[in-house]
Amino acid sequence: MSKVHFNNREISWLKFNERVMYEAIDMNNPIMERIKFLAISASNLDEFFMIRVAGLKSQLSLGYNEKDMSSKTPKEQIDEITAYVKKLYNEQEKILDDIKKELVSHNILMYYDQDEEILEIMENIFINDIMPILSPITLDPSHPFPFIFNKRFSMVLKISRGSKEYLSLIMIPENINRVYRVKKSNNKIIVLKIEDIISSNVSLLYRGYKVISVDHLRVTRNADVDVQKEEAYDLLRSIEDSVSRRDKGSIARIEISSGIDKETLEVLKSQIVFNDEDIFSIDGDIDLTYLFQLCNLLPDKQFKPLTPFLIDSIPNNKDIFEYIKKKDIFFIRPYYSFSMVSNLIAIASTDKDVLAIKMTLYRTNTDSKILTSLIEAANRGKQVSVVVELTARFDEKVNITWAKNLEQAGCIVSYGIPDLKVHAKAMLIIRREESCIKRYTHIATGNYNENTAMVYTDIDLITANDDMGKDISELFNYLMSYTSIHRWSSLFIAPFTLKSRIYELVDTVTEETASGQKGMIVMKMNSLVDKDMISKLYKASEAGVTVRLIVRGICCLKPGIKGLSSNITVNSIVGRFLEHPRIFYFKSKSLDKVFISSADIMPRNLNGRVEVMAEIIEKSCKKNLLDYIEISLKDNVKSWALTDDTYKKVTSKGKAINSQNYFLENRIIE
Amino acid sequence: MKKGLYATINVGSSAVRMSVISLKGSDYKEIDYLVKPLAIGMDIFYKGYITLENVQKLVEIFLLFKVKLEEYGIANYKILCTSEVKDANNKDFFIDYIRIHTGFDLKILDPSEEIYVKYVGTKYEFKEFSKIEKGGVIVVTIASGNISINILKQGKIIHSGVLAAGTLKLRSMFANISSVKRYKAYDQYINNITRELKTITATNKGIKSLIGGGSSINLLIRVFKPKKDIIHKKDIVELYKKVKSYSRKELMEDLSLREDEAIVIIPTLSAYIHLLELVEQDFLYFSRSSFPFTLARFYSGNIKDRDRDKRVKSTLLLITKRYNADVHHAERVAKYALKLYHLLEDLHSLNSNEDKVLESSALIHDVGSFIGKENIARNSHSIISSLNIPGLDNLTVNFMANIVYQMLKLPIDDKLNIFTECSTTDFLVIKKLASLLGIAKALDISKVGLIRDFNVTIRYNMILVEAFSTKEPFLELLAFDKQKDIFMKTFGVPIDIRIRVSYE
Repeated sequence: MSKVHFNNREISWLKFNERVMYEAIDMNNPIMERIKFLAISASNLDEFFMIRVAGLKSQLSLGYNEKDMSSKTPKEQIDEITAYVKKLYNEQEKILDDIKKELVSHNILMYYDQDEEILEIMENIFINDIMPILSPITLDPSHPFPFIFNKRFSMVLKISRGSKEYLSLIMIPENINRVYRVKKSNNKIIVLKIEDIISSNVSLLYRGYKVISVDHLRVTRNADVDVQKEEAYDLLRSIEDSVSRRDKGSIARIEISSGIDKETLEVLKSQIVFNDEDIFSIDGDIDLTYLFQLCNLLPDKQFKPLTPFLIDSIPNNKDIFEYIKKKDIFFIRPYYSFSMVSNLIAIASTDKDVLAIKMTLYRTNTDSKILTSLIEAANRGKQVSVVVELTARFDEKVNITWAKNLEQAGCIVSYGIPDLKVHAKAMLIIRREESCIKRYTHIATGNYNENTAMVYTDIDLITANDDMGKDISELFNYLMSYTSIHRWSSLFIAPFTLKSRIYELVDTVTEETASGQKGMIVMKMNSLVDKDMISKLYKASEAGVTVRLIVRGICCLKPGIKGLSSNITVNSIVGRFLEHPRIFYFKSKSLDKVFISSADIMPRNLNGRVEVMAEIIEKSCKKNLLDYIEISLKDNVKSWALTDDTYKKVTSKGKAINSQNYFLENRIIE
Repeated sequence: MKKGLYATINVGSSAVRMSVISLKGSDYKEIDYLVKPLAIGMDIFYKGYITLENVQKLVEIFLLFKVKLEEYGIANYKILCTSEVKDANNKDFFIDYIRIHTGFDLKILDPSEEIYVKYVGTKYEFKEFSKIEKGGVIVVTIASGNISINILKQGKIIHSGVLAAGTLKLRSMFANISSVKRYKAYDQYINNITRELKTITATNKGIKSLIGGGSSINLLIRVFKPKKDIIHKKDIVELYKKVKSYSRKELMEDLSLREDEAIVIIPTLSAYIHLLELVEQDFLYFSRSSFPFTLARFYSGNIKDRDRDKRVKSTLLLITKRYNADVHHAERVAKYALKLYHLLEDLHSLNSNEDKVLESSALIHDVGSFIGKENIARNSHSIISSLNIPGLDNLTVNFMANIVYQMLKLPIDDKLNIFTECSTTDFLVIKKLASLLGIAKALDISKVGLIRDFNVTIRYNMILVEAFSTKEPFLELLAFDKQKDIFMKTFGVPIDIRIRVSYE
């Protein structure tokens, strides 16, 4: 048995990203989707360095040397991450190579001979599109080394004139394509990368100079402090006071061509200020996010377009309110259409009896139908309140724009609670019925984003349950500062009651199982990091509770270890859709409860965010949700099983079950 | 109000609270409850006025609450301030500023009204109230600004009063004493002010229960987390012993309290321990309903004290008894006054509620004699106007004091400026009721009930009282003669009396 009872969260995350990357070699996925998976994993890795690695490096630079729950110091973690990422880079290169070879059979050429025709095309592109916007900087005393922006693909050139050598830098502007697709007369498509176009025409830029070498460089810097504060909650809390003093934009990673000469590298090290530990030498392409530009090249080699189910019995007019009073609306995205929520809001916006609509807005789409409806409602004199979370990671701009639009329409826009990110997804419709008030509540595990609702799997509940309505109303009172004291009776809200309730539920199952009853805990989430919860699950396991976890991403729990977690299984489903719902099911002598939540079991969610956990009470909804869990647990196509710290793809000799495909093809909710 | 939404906003000593209730017949439901801390009590206790900063903060809170009123489309609401606001030097500015900046009209609760609403609320919201009330109970509301107390036994309010010992008030009184021994000051002070209650409970043996309410109960619920609606004395004592000399910070950390709660927890525990000792009980009952919720139910008409008139009458007679006045005389005067009122309705044209005021004035009219015959009108006025009578608001009590004064006054007292706050209309009502009361009083001036009954006839623009007596009532006739002029001046109609003596 391992002495350390917790997996390192950073390595665990890297393993998740590795699983995403391996979707690129799953031949059951169409080729365009496989390219996309590779791009996603590259993009994920960028974010990981900007936030997590930067956080660890901040700890290190400030002399913080405490061990994390996996008993590793920041230095040890960075070393381990570096080694792991280097391995991933090698894998990535191989996979891309294979894909490039395979693309040839689809008439897409990423390898090509630079024949006359190609060279001419490249020259034309360079002269017309690229050269006018390039600003090479050749270093000399009057041209000091420029600041290289985060994630900006750059080229480092060694040039000479006469006997004198110079170093020159080309930062590729952000607003230019990384690849050009050229359709040749033989119907073949040639993919030209910008760095290749520039390299073959570099003499046009450096007239009178000899180009000695051309290398590629990409710098990853730490993210904004605000973003980091939330996403690296655990890392930065320990050095909180020092965060503001930390150098903004310090280096988290340097990706550089493997062939760069030592002398040039030394200059870069001293000018950009980085160490050998920050360097990742790349043999192939740097920054595979450019593959996003290719994944729609062959529309027939993508996943089949999604046609979500609708629940036909739901009225498309104000009778919907009567319907909800009789029966909760419960569905799972993207298999069922999120338009059921958009439509409800649209109906509410024009219904004369609706007095007010309130909702949280964490991440939304620019062309949101929901927000259009909210503006319509405000124009019709209804009170519309929106709690906007401006710091939703990398979505600030979209949210600010919407917040302004909403305010101009007369909506009450509030920006939540200082230092607590509002991650809960909740909406409340207040309707006057027979001189009294009726509340209709929507609670979800996913955002009010009609685009991601087609890609993320999530759970939605629309109910007229009075207790839930009152609690959500209370939540909005709190978020909008109408009250300082709150009382929740049916919902569990982080950072107040959610953590204690979920601990209590685990404890109850454990105690009842220890006294000889059967007990089971099933939890589905994105990440499991909270140390206390993991310890409770270990305790439950050893008390005889069957613990089945579906953790898509980080899992610091080590399952299947004798004397610690022998009754725990952990699976991770990685497929076409991003698994996103948080579902917690507890069954023992006195319990048979299933909850949905916006919260992951991570300290940042439980202690530093506003989150909601709601019990699914209505029998039919509960059954639907349990069916969903059961089928997810049976997945043996897209599921990976974790033992200790190692993931292995689940294989089964029996019937193959791809849970996502199953839900696409079968209506589990009528 | 039978159907719809009703809201109350209550400005208390330490917080502003809003309760929204939904009514449908006798069904009711609290659909929203908001709390925003605001320590205007501290301002009043320390400085004697409400600081501009807090007035402005209150405006901000009211504007937030206004959004909630709009959210529900509520047209029926009431905004009430704790009675402590009466003590603020700048209360008029405060009310005016709020009105200008929010459009809200604030009403300051009378202590008697506050205590009465709390009593009615407890009665309705506390399931076992009738059973407990029979055996004698202290209903106490410990709030930041005061402690209001109703002592009831067998359906009667045998005492009702407000002690100036709210938890926040005590904390501010003893703010300069070190936390190590501050609890001793609380103990001494609470012991001192509950002395009067000891006499009452001692003379009314069997008062064995305590029901708690107010913001203090919310605090105790948070600390003790009781599953049933009782809190045990041993738990309170145990906690008090442990934390009585803790600093605010220690209290916050140890009991996970907010700062505003940590400030008042020690005086709260001390007050409950003293009160539980008074009733010699091991636990206290409590109601989980908030005061604004009770206010909302009360002012929307969802709860009513069906025995209010009976209860007010018995309270007034208890007061008359306490001031050594003749209860039977008071009852007879009240009976005669009411009869005159109803028989002369065409003459006085007063509205239908004034009969209750007249009856109440009659029941209490003689309390001034407790001090002496000299200045009896002024003494009666002083005593009556200082009373807190559950079920009667301050305005009514002042009205009663003025009626009694007007009825008892000597001509020389006319120079007194008692009626400066009265409008001409009110003054006219007071004079009419005082005249009727004067006639009723005259009919039993000897206080022995010689006149058993009377009839009234109106002939030739003259009122004739035909009184039935067991023997010739000389004193009554003399007193009637004195009242005739006053009656004539008030109503413009002469009045006279004819005695019919019946022998048994």
